[in-house]
Amino acid sequence: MHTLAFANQKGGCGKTTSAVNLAGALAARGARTLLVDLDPQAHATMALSCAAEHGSSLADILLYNAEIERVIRSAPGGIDLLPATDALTEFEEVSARRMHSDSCLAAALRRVERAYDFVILDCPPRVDGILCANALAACDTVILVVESGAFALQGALKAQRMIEASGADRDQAFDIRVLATMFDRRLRIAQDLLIGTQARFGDRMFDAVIHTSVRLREAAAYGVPVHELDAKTRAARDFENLADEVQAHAARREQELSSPAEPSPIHSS
Amino acid sequence: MNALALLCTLHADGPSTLHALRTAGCQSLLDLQECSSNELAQYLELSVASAERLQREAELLGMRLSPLEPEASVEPRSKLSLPPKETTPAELTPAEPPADLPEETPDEVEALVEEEPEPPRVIKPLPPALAGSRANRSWFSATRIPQAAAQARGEFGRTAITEEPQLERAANPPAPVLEFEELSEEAPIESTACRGLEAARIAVETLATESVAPSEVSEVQVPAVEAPSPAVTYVTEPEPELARIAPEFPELAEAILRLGEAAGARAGLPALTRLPEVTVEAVEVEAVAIEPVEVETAEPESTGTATPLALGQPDGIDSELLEALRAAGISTAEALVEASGLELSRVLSIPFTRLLELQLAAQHLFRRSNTLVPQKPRSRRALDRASDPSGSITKKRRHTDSYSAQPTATGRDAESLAQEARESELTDAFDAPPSGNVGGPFA
Repeated sequence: MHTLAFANQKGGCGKTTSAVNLAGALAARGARTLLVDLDPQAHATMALSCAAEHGSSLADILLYNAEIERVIRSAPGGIDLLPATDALTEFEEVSARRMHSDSCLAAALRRVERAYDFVILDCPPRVDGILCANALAACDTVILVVESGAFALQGALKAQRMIEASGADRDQAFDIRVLATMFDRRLRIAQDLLIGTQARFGDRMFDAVIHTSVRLREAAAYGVPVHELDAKTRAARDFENLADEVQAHAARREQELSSPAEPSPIHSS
Repeated sequence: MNALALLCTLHADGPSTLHALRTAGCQSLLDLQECSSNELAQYLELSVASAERLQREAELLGMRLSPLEPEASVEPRSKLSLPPKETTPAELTPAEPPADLPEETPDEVEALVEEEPEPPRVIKPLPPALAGSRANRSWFSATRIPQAAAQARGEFGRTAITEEPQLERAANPPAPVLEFEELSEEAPIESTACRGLEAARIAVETLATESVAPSEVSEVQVPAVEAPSPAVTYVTEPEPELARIAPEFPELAEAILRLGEAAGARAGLPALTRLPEVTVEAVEVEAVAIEPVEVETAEPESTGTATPLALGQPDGIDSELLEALRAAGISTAEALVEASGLELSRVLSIPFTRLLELQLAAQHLFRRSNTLVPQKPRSRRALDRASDPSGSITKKRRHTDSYSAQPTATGRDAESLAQEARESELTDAFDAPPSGNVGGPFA
């Protein structure tokens, strides 16, 4: 099981859209995919047509140690979903009084690690919160989502520092990759920012870039991944390319882990 | 993402183009530039112009990325790339002196510092509002934090920040500036009247202490006053004291001025213009009875040239009408325009409407013969008002949100119309998904 966390300190940069549609792209090619919504705003849950107000949610797992198998739901596009509610804010409040509150999600996911190929975590827009700490404790790859706008690069660098510090504290091995989103090739500012992001992150950046697309907004409004709405659209192709790279990255990582002679990086350099 | 992937994202079809290029063995921007345009166009199924454009963009991107490229070993540098610039602050060092100049020993530097004393500085206190807004050294902690500790606390992100080199002396010492406040209050104001007043003051003091006879006042030795700094130029205004006494005591003012001239001549100072020139004339004013006088006011003449009436100017004037107009005292187009139409039509025995036409034609003639004045553009509303004075055509109906309580002509009352509006608002909000996707966020 490969666990990817979509994170950034900045909100509105496309974390939820990227997580939902990457999960859709992976599920469309047959990979068993679980999407975990860690945002109390529950936008990923809503983007997959699941309103969790009347059922159990991730908050029940984190707060009351509910069984994860009973909480997971089937969502459009062949994705399994661990939905969120605003009760997650309650977990943020009580976590300070609990021991090991940052490893609750990792412990829960360990129960289903053989059932899924990919687990995708949609983090809230706050890297130093307890929910994001749970995601970092559970993931092996952090995908920093960088939009093509002002302050995005600064927010990504700040998030990168915090994530690296978090990994160093736990002596945890995870990789950091960067995904550029909301890219509009027609805008000179977007081109310049992409060049700057590439110059800063280099090979740690995905080759795939998510372009600005109305289809992505429509898919979220209809409550389905973009592959379900229109598999031939450019947005779907962007996520196809991203899924290719994610699968290649997962295979490479699996190969690294399987060979004991090559130790995995403690944290990215 | 390497530079080739970035190029494909920016100027091509992204990863699909990248995959095609990599399959063809093109792994870097340099490889792409060295490809033949025709082969590249054929391989990517582009036109030759598009392939050339992609190569040109690759060259430009290589030049742009060359100083930024983080991993030079991964990507071979373009042939046209510029050498990397040393822009990091760590590499910024103080400029070294030229080799041909002898190095200055510390003693020499101290001697230089001693030879150039700092110019006197006048520190003027700021007003309270401004003083409070200035940065105060006491606000900041005096203890120095080591750079390593600051980095550990995350206050410095880069190791490149070095301490700023301390200059031993100012590179450009400020030039001495004489400000107005720096001048002594005893500095004389350079004017004849001031010299006279000063001489008079000394004379009065001398008289009081040595009881000199008034006739000897002119013989009092006035000490020479130093000339002010030539760098400072004064625009002398009339001294208020002399200006105040001058109208009432012109002889005294004149005496002061003469005294000032004499004092300046004795002190060897240059002669100055008398300021102020005091001329006082006593005028006795008698009471004048004002009687109302009737003055015939003539009409102001036209600024433009008069346009005489002639046959056919304006249109419709024949010889008979021209004679009648001249008999009525109207010989120019301006007079015809300004004449009362109704009375003139009676005098000339022509219809009033024809006279109006004549006046209009005369007005055109008058305007043509004079300088054209650009007219102010009229607004749309003004044009509408001119074409439709009653407003029956262009008057817009006011939009109201409330429905009439009275039944309309179709027999539908306000309640039914309001209900229909509410229903349309509800149904226009969201369209159902095209397929069987139920349970969306808006369900």
